[in-house]
Amino acid sequence: MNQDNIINVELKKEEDVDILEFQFDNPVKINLNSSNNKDLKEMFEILLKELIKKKFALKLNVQNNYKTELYKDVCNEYINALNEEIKETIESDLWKEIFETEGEN
Amino acid sequence: MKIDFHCHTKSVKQGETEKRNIDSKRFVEKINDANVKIVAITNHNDFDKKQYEEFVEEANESFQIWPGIELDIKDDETEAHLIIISNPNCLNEFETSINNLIGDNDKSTFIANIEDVLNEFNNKDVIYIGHYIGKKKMLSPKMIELMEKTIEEKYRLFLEPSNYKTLSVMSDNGFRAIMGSDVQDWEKYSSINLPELKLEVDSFNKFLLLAKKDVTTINTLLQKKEKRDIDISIKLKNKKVINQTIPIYNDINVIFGLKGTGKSCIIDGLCDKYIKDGIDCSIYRAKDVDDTIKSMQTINDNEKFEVEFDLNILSKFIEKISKWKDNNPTSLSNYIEYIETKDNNKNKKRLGITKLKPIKNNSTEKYDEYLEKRKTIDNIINEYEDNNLYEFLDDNDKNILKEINNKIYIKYDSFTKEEYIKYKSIELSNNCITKIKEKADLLSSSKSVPNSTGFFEFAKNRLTLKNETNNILKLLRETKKIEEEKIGNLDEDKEVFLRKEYKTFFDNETGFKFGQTATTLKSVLKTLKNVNKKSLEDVNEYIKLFNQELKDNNIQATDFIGIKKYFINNKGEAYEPSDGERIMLILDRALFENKEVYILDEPERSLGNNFINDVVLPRINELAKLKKTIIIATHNANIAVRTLPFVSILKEYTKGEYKTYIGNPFVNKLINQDNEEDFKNWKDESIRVLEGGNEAFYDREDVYESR
Repeated sequence: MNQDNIINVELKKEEDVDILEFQFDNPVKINLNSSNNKDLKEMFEILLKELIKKKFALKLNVQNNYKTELYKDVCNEYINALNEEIKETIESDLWKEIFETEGEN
Repeated sequence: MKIDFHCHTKSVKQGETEKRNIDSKRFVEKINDANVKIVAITNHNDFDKKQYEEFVEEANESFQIWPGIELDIKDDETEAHLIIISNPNCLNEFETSINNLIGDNDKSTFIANIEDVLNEFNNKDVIYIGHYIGKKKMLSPKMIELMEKTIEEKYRLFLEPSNYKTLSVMSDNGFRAIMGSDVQDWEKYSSINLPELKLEVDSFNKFLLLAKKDVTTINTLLQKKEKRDIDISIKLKNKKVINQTIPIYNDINVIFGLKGTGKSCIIDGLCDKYIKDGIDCSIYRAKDVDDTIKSMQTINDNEKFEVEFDLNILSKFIEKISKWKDNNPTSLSNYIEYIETKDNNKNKKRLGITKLKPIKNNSTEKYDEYLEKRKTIDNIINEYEDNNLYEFLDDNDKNILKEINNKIYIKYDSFTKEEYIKYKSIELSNNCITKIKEKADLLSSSKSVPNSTGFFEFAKNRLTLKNETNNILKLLRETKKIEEEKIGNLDEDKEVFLRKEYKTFFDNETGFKFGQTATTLKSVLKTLKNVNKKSLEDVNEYIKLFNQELKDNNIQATDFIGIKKYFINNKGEAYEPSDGERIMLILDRALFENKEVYILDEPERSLGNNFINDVVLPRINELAKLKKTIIIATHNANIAVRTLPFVSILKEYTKGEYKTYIGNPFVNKLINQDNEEDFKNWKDESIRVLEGGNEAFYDREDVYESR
């Protein structure tokens, strides 16, 4: 996957909150200290929308001075799992049926 | 039966075409090809007995040949042509008369004095046919007057005009008129239009009796036609119900009478009877034309169920979308818990299954497909059994068919089970993995790795929604069907059809009738388009709106089918027939349906005589030849008289009493059904009722100068 096909995801601290930032054109931030799933759902919607524009994979970057090992491991596990599912999605028959034949609708 | 009473087999006179010469073999071929049943040989000033006998022998009774001659005659003012045809049983006598008259004279220039001719054939068994209007050498009025005075049995005198138009005017005015081929070229014989006798005659004598309107002969001839005495109940306008027996022939039956005499009541009684007896009728009532046209254009709700549109997809979608919801992401806390606790228990670490992720299961599409096919073949097998569809097969074929059907069933059954096992085993494995993880988590105070982030399922759900809305919008945009049914002909090359257009709602569909108003459907469609457009983004609010709109308006899939009905011409252009054309179309349709019985109530109403003469009369006569039963209630003389009906029923209403007279034009009599001694003259009544009386009839005759 070349550089163009990578969307960076950054794990960082912002005002003492652990943030996982998906750096789309309009970035989406997930608060790792919150139990709210709304941000995740919004991220899924944008992820899907961006995938229609171009196929990509996510790359986790950890902010230089970021220290919390737990979240490093969690985000690593999560982004790996997400990348697997992105690949599975864009390779699915349904995806091909829609985006290889979709026309005027 | 076709007849030709003016036929040449020889070129006799100077200037006569050689193409009239014919030998016996070719003559028989030509007459048989034209399906002529009686032919009279009438050469100019010549009767060749030897040739006549040779032709009769060659014909071998396949048709009748009568001996005759076409004589040049004159009085002191006029020269004319007169055909004389003899009873074939008086052949020698006829030959003698001809010899007496012509002797050794040159046949080419011979011309007899009319008085000599009448003297020679006086009291002989012959008929006379004189050239008349439009023909060269036509009889003068003076000659006709002399003949009518001299010939005792006037029915033996006929006149021959030059064309059928004149012939029909003459017939309508009580003249005995007849036409023959006057063949010029035997090559063209089959294309000559020859007259037909309504009643079949098998001899010269029978023909004379028919001309004379001999009741016994006519009744005998009538009885050769199939007749049914039909018992009907007639509901009169004064609410009285009377029972009557009406004789109906497999031919033309006419009911006539002044307005308000109960003709339509007989028609209604006959319709009821035929329908009750299960006899297939074509019924035309002039008064019902507007209703018939309206009912053709009316759209019934049931009609949309008859059209074979695949609305399953829309019905299933409507059902599915009411339950649709997003797949939620797996909470990140599950991942945090997993990482936090994964080292809590060494034993669990060794339990590799807790690290497994679910196996991706294929959709149930294959399983659903096989299940559906198995159901179809199962239904087919049951249909065979339940409806005894094997009844025409012998045991061997029956067993083969059963075996084949069973083979198909077994195949689909096995595929269905295979797919079910595949699908279910994966589902079961995944359930096992989940359960083992849960148990291990519980016992080890740790959390196993989550099965997924939820993205794949979330995406799949949204993609399915996108795909299904794509398919539905395509279905709504593209589904249409056109059916056309011929209504009738306005003239030879102007046909009118009823076009039924079916279309699913997609835009502003003008003229279509849908199950809901256009505004409602437009709004629902707009929401559906938004569901499709936003299906990969923030679709939930549109799903909610779509479901609300469906619920509020109780919208079903069939509501999206619209029907439009309109008339078109044979170029496919929309066509709005005028009031008169509507009548022509519905009558034409009724006449050209293939039925056993045709019942026509006032077919002439609002129609010009051209349409009656060019379309209605020829078709009625054609149906009669096809041995169909045609019953017509009419005020129109053209229909009532010129069709020469086998039965004429005259209805009368006088002093609160309805009378029914039954007869026919052949016996020229109409007898009261309830009193045999009360009878009327068919011709007089026809003139009175149909022509407006003697005065009007003869006035017209004078105006037309047809006398």
